[in-house]
Amino acid sequence: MRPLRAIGRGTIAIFAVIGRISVFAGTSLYHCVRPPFFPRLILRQMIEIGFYSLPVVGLTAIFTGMVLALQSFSGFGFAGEATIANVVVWGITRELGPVLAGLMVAGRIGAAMAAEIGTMRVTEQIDALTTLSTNPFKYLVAPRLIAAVAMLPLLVLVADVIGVLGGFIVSVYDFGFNPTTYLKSTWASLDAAGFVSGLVKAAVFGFLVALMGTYHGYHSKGGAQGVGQATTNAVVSASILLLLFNFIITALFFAT
Amino acid sequence: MTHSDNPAKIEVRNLQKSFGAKHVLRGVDLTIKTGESLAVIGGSGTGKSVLIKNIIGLMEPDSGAIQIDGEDVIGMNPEDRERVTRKFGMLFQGAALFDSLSVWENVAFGLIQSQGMNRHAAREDALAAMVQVGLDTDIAERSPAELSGGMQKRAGLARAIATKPEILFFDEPTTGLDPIMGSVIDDLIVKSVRELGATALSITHDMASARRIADNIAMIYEGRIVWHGPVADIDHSGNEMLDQFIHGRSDGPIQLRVAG
Repeated sequence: MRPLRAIGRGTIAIFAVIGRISVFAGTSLYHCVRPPFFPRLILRQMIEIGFYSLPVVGLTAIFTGMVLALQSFSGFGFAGEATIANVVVWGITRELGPVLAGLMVAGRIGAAMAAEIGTMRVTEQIDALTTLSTNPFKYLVAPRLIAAVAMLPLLVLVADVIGVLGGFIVSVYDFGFNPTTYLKSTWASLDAAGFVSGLVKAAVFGFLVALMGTYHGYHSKGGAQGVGQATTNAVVSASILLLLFNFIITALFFAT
Repeated sequence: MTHSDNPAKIEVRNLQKSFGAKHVLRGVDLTIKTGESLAVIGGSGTGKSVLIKNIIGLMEPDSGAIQIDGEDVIGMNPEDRERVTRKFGMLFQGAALFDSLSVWENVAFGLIQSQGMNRHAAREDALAAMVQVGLDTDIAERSPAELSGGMQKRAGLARAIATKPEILFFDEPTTGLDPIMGSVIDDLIVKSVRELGATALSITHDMASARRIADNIAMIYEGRIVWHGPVADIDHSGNEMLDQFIHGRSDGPIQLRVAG
C-alpha cells in the first residue's frame, strides 16, 4: 500500500498547489480591476519591466535573428531572399520573439519580484501594509501584473523588429542579398495571425511571469534561504508554465 | 492610572490557534480596557506574537472570539475589517519600514493610503510625527537602510502614531537596541500613548521595558495567560512562573526544552 499512498499524497499535493495558485491568481485579478488603483506604482513597474528589459531582450533578439538567417542559409542552401526572410519572420514573430523575451523577463523580472516581495514578507513589511489598511494584493501584486501584461507585448514588438533586423544584417552583409528585395520579402512573409499570436503569447507570458514572481515571493518564509528558494521557484515555474502555455496558445491559433 | 471603569477596547475569549500538531494558543482570555497599556510577557515560543497577529488580523484563529470596541472581528467582511484596522497603529520588532520609500513617505504612508490625504499635507504631518519621536527632519528624504536601528525604531513609531490611531501595538519594541536607546524608545512609547489617549498592547520579554511602558502585565506560558495584574504587583504576585520569569531563573516551573 505504500507506493499507492505515496502516489495519492503526491497527487493531493499537486492539486493543493494548483488550488493555491488559482486562488492567488483569482484574488490578484479581482484587485487588478477593482479600485483604488496605484498609477504611480504601475508606472514604476512598467519602467522596470519594459524599459530596463530592453537591452537584454534586444540583444537576445538580434543574435537569434542572425543565427536564424545563418541556419536557414546553411540548411536550405542558397534558396533566395524570400525563403530566408520567410523563415526569419515566421520564426521570430510566432515563436522565438515571445518565448525568448518571456524567458529573459522571467529570469530578470520574475526573480526580482520574488526577491523583493519575499524580503518584504520575511521582514514583516507585508504585515505592516495590512496594519496600515493597505491590501498587499492591491499594492504589491496588482501593479506588477498589470505592468507585466501591458509591457511584454511591447517588448515582443521590439524583439520582433530587432530579430528581423538581425536576419537582415546577416542576409545583406554576409550573404550579399539585395536589401530592397529582402525587405519586400520580409513584409510579404509577415502574416497577421502569426504576429497577433506572438503578441497574445507575450501578454499571457507577462501574466505568468508576474504571477509566479509575486506568488513565490508572497509565500516565502525562513529568512534569506527562503527568499533565495522563492526566487529560484519563481524563475523555474514561470519558465515551465511559459513553455506549456506557448504550446497551448499555438495549438489554439494554428491547430487545424 | 486606573482604567478599570472604562469599557473594554479589546476583548479576547478562549482563543485557540494551532500550526499542524503544535498547539500555540490554548484558550487565551484577555481584556484590555480603553486607555490601558498592557504588556504581554513570556518567553520565546510561548505564543505572544501569534496572539498579537490574531488580534490585528494577520492570522485567523482556529476558534475563540476577538472583539474590538464590542465588535466581533473574526469572520468580518474585508471592508469592515479594514474599517477596524484603521483604528490600529503598530510598531514592528524590526520596524518593518518600506525599503522602496523614503523615511517621510514611510511615516506618511497611512495618511496617504488609508486616510486619502494629499502628498503635500501628508508630508507636513509626517514631519510633525518625526519631530514628535525625536527624529531630525533632515533625514526625511533618506532611505530607511541609511538609518541606525534606533532611528529605524523611531521612524516606525512615527509611522504608527501618524494616523492618530485609537489602539497601538508594540512588538518587542526594545529588541536589538542598547539599554539607553531601549529606554528612550520606551519613553517615546509612553509619551505617544498618553498624547494620543490610545489603548496599547505590547509584547515583550524585556522586563525593564514592560515595567516602563505598561499599566498592567499579562504573562503567557504554553498558550495560556497564567497571570494578569497591575505592573506594581509583579514583584509580590505569589505566582511561581512569573517570579521565575522576571528574575530570569533557570530552575522553577518553567522548563526550557533544549534540543540535545
